[in-house]
Amino acid sequence: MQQQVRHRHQASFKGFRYDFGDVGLLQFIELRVVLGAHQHRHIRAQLAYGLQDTEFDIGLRERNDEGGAVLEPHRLENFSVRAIAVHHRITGFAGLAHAARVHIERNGFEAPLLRYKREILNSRMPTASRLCVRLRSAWSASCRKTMTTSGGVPRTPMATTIIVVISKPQGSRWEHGNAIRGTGKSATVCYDRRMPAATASTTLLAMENGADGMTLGLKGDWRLDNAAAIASALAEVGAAESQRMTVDFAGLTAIDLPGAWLLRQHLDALQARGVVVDMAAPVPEPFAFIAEITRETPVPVASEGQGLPLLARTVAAIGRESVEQVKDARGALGYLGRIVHTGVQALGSVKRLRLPAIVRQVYETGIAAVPIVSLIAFLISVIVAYLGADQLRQFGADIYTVDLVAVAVLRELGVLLTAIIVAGRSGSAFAAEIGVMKLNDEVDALKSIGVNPLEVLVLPRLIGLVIAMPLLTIIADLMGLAGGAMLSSLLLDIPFSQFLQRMQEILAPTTFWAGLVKAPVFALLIGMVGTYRGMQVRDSSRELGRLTTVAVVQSIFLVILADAIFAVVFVEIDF
Amino acid sequence: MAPEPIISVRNLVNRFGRQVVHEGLDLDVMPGEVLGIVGGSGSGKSVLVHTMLGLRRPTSGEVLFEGKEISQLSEPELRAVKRRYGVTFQHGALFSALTVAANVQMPMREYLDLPNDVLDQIAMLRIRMVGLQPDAVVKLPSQLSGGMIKRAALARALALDPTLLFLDEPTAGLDPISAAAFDELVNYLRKSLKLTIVMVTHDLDTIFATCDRVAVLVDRKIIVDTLAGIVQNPHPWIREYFHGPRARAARQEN
Repeated sequence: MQQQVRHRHQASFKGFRYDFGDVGLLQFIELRVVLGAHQHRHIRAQLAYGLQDTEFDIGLRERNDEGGAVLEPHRLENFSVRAIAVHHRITGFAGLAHAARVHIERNGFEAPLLRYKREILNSRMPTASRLCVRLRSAWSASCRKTMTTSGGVPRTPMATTIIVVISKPQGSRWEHGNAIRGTGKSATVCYDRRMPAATASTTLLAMENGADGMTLGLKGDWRLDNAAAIASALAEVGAAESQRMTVDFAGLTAIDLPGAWLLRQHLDALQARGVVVDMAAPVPEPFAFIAEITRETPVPVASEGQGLPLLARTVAAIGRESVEQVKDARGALGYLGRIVHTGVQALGSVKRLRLPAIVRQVYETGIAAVPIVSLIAFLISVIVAYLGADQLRQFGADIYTVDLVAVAVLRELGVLLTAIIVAGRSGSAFAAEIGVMKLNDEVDALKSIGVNPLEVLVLPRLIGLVIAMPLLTIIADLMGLAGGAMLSSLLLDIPFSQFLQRMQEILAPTTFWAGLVKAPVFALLIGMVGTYRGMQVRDSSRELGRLTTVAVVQSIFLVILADAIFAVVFVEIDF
Repeated sequence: MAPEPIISVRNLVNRFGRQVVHEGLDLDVMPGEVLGIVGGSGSGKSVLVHTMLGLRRPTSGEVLFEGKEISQLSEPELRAVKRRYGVTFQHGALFSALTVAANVQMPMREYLDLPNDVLDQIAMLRIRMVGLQPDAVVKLPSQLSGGMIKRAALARALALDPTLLFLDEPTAGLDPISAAAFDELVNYLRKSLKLTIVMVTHDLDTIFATCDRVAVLVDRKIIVDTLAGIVQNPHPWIREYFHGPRARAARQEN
């Protein structure tokens, strides 16, 4: 039976942060067992498994006002009074939850008649009586209310209400719904997820004002898992004003370093406010360790600029960003200069040009990119030709589709598409490769060997890309024209031979070169931005990601900007 | 009754392709001891530790954590086991994008539901425990020196109050003064926190200063003995290791 109930509870509380088997849950259960007429059997099934535990035979006797014993309930209606008491043993045993009060009421129209405090509680909970007093006024009203609502229709004049308030955080209210409501038929166990540390004040700390200041009695489990509850319990100590404070560790079941540390920190803060704090012997072990590690006084960390008003902060942020941008631009210019310098030096000897590295870069940035560049150039020119044909057909000027495709692909599209794809492929690869080498100190290793990293890492990439980009552009041009030709023959009945002938007629000899000449420039831009951002990586993997992104975005932007400049210049010089 | 080992490795075999790293290896880690694992380069120290941590599935054989086979554990059970041990990696393996405090808080955020101010306070505790200055909390790993990185990694490993600590080359790359301070710290933490420590190290000074027992990986097997016993071991590699010129100096000091 016990196992069964336990399993059921554990099942219904699955997913909750405490196992029901964990006593922690009892911290924030308010258990009201409302006994009407014949529902005792229902209730029994609803009670926590702990109630069924009869290992300890602590009886709870019901007495009437005059102190006389009351008859035992009927055997079948046996609301196991003893079980309630055993329940208290459970709470006391854990040292976590307190049964603050037990009310047994004869009927709904009397004030609570009996308060069993100490008698039903475990002897290990000497503070229960005090807690009871503290909570009493808060609960009297609701007790009556409970009687009228849930016990309102007592089947027998002997209707009994037992209210067990297990605990409540000081200064907080039970939220609606986290009480246990007796419906007259059964009692429901409710709890509130929002109050995981609900009983911090009553279960972890007991404050007692005596002649020589306040005694702080530590109780229960002061370990890391309980840290949130510990912190909120300690927060209440600050509110209590007392000039002398004694910490008593007698009630403690366990304390570890974090728990002791939180307490120590709090006591230090109190001491700073002039409170005299003593620790009653025996002081748990972790405190000696903490004393050891805090021999030097902590250095407070001053944070900068936090106190400034919003406007000033905004202005400061804009200013800082501007300075950063100017520095960045100067850095980029300096980088360009260094590369040119290195390049000129390297041109002096074949060995320093590092041909194998260049060849590898041509392969990786050029040949490996051929399929994707071809495909995209082909598709884009098909799109352009299709749209153009659709418009031009309205004027009967179908044949001009050839002009459109040929000029657009050769002058702009081929090279621009290639540049954008290369920026995405190789620009990011440059930044990431060099960035990782920076993070691994490989760049510094090169420097220490006496090798110029620009010469080994940057120049081959730049030269490789400058070689590969025009070649890729030529392929893109070819594929673009092929796409246009295919669409023309399929859609416009312009056969391939006519397409070629028309192209020869209209194309100026410079058209092809006007596109191709841009390729090395774009290659340089992409390569420079990629390698520059890679070289900027330091410290963290996050930087690497950020700068790789920056490299791609900036190189695409610069490529388009440069293309716009080329367009204007070419028109001006009639190229 | 003899105490139960925290971790036992039974008949472990690890193989990479045709290369056999471990062949029928047995090892017990007893509670409260500091066990040093030594071995030549490529003898499989790291592989052994990774296997013990459950980060690597052995080719065959089993690893028992408190009597339970690690590979048989369910996800929540494995998490519970992982909560019990802390690990430092050879190069620190601090999360480079996070500050030291955030690094230390990371395991606590993962396992516990704590408010930020409590996390900050406990992170400060860990940082003080390992002897870092309080102003280190706001620094990024890249702003730390090698010794500080080792300490910060230890602080992170200690975040959840582990019972078992794995240290991979804790003193490698430290100057002798920092390394000695780190040894002292390990001894100190072990004494105060009653930790069990498994330490992979090449540093003879560290072995003599901290270890109770030493496990030597030779010939794809392991030879475990107390520090005094292992020094007397007749195996040629072990003799060479503990009686070479460097070892003599280290032994004289301790």
